[in-house]
Amino acid sequence: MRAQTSGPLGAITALVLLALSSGLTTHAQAQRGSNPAGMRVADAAHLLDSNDPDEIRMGIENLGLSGRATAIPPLTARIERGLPRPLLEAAVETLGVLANPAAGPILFRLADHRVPSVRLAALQAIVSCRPRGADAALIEALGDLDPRVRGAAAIGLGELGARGSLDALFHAFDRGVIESVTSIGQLADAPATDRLLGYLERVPLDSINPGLNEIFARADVSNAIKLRIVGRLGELATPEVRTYLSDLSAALPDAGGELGRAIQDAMSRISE
Amino acid sequence: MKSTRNPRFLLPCLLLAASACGGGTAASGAFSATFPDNRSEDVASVLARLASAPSAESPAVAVGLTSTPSLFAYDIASGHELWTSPVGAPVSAPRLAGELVLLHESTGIVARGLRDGRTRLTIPDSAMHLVGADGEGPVSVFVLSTGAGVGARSEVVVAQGGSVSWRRSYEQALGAPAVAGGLVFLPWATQNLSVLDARTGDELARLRSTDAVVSEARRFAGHVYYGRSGFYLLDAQAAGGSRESTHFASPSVGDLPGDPSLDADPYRPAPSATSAVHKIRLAWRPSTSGTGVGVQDALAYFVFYRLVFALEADGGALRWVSSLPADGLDSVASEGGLWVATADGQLRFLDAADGRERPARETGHASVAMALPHDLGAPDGAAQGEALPLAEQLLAAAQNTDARLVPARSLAVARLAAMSDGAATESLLSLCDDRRLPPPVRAAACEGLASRSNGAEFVLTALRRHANFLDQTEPPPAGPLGRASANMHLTAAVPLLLGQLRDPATPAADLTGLAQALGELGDRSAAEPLLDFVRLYHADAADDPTRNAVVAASQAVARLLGVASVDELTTLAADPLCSPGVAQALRDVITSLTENPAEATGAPSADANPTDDANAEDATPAPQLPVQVTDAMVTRVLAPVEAQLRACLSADSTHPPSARLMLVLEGDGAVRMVSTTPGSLQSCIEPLVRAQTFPGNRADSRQQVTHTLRRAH
Repeated sequence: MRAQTSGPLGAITALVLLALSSGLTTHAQAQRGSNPAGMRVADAAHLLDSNDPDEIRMGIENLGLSGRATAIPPLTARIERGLPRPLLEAAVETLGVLANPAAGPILFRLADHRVPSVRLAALQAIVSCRPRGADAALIEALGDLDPRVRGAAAIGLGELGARGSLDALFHAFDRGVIESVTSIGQLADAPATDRLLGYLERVPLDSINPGLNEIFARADVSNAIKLRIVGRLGELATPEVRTYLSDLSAALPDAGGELGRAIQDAMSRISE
Repeated sequence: MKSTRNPRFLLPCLLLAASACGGGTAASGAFSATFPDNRSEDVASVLARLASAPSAESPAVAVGLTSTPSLFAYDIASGHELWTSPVGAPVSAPRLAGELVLLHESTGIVARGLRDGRTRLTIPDSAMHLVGADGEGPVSVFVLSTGAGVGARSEVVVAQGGSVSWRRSYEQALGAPAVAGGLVFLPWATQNLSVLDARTGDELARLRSTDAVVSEARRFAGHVYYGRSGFYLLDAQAAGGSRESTHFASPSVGDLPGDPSLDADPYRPAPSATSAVHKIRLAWRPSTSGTGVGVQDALAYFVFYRLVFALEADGGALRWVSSLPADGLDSVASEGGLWVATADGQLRFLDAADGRERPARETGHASVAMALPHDLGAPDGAAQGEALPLAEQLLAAAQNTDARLVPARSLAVARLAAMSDGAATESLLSLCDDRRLPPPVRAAACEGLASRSNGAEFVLTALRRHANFLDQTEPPPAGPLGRASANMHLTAAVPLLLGQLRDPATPAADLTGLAQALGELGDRSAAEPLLDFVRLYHADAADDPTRNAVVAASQAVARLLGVASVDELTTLAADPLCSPGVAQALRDVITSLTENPAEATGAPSADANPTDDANAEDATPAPQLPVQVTDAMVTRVLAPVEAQLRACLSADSTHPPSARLMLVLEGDGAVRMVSTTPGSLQSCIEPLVRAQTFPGNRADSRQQVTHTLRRAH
């Protein structure tokens, strides 16, 4: 799961990421719970008690900038006390940026928030924080009534590497959660690959090629499996398959290898 | 008995000089201003003539009009079609008049022979409607009228053997006539019935009703009745003129949609052949016994297109409801049941006892209008199939997808709501749960559900359901279910209601009902989750339903905790980030609490009805589990390892004075997640916590508990 960098919350994320990635957070700074661009964690946490929304936002941003796990309890407590939506979403995103499993409980709770955008942010933060039980929370969110939330849950399961979610992802794909196929591709083992190939007879190739792309891109998937996919695609022999194989061939780092030759061979058997 | 000289009725009789078809004319005198009414001797004379010439039964022949258009006659007794004939553009529905069939066509009133369909007469309509007809043997009588009002005029035509005997015009509104014993019974001016000699047209008797509208006369089983929504029996007491002093029968069935009546109002312009008036009827017939006059089988049948409700005539209690496959075009009550001629060409008979059908007659003609004889007897044959329980009959009626039936479907829902058994609760729930239903029908069902006091097992089952896209389940109607739970004092529902309150798929409109129910049920363990809800949304109540829910939840907290909730609510009310309107509402709650603390607390736990709740417990295992696992419970569970947990704090390199544990527990108490702050304590604390056994919760739902550990002093 990638933190968002656009929209009203993007500024917070960008600022925090800049600080975290620049290496400016020294051990000494961390020891005293402060950050170079901002203030001590305790001071930032104190701002959360303000009556001024701008000060609360400043507090949230500075807690994010701290990069410290100690920023999580005050953020959690402030969320539990209730925030207007923009500040709530900022706080949730900040928890995601902090990427600490300790944020799990409040994020799990917000995954049931009434507002879809808050649930979406909570799921993305869960993926970032990877608390225990994250996969179960995301599997549950596949059944959310909001398509954006379902999509985020599906993508998040792939990013989490939650192989135990494959059945749920296939179920979601059957129900039209198209984002699931990418995660299926990221997680699939040999049986799951065969299961995915089984869709070729039922759905357009376009629907599953994001999943196939993921499989072809994975180093942990054997060549045998990839060759089996090419073979299965070759059996279909449709113009769409030829176009797909052509694009795949162009993207292969080793076009002259066994896989590349198999792709060329399959393409040659499909009339233009 | 008294004579009337009311100037309103001193309208002159206009006798036409000649009939259009060469028939003779009767002597003048009918409706004479000087004719005495309600004279016992006149009535006795009429009754004597009726007794000496018993009325013949009407032929058991139905006539129908198809869309082509053509007219057909069907012999009900033999099950054969008698004839079919193309007709001109129909103006209104066909009518039976003894041996004639009348149809108002663009060319006028066309009378055809009932047995052969041959045209006998054509009478110009003179811009009037065919408002009624009857016949007995060779005598046929029909009335044309403009309807009531200024400039009203009417014409009576009497035919004998297919030829006009006489016809007479009146400058007033006439009703639908009956013929019996060589007499014509002719309603007029909304309150009079004149009895005429069918041969001469002489007026023999006049009856005036003082307290009921008289618009039609009918002949049933040898007796003559007259009236409209209720019928007087023409007997020796008829001269009394009022309901009390005569034998009068009227079904009392309460308000019904569509203003149904036995037949179209003759004093109003006749409805077109395909008018809904013919499909919305209250069919019943008076019956006479030794003790007086009543309603046949004590039932009135409310026909609304394709739904038929059998209603007890003495109050409207529902006996059964039947869903027909096609619209009822004409319906006639009979001894033992109801005849309904349906648009699919069937003549159906619904048994009075349970609504089951006896073998139907198939006319072979899909029809747009039908006419059945008024005095049709019950058919042979036994009712077929099984009678469904009434709740299921009503459910089927309410679920009928015909959009025209919404008022009757709502009636079905109302009748369901009036039933006391638990099956009705299930049916109401099914209807309230169906978001495809027309809003009035669903609203009525939800209101009925909310008012239930039994059927707890269905309420609990429904509350366990949550919306899920993958499972393709929708949220239950949580608001009405909550109100029903409160009505039933169903404390077993509390954890389920909390689960619905937390579920984002629960429609915002249902939240208020949920919160109110939780307050009314009086389980104080619901207070903290309700407060959580208020805290989380008091600054984010963007729409009215959410705002209302926040306020309702705060009121529920106040009710559950009483003055103990003042501090928390005051803090929330003082939050400058509060959504508009919420702060004031919270202050109002606090004011109410402080001014009437006892009332606010309500002590609902003590009010709970243990008997009713016991019913609910039948449906679910006795919930010994807590509604929610609290911090205090966690403290107790962790007590055996308390020393080891504190040791974790002491051993940590940062030597934290305290640690915060966040536990996520599954509904069965399984530990889903343990998270510690500081995180460095995780590896030490988590195994200790996971080794303990936590209780589950009644809602069998995942929950989060926060617990603080402190180093020993």
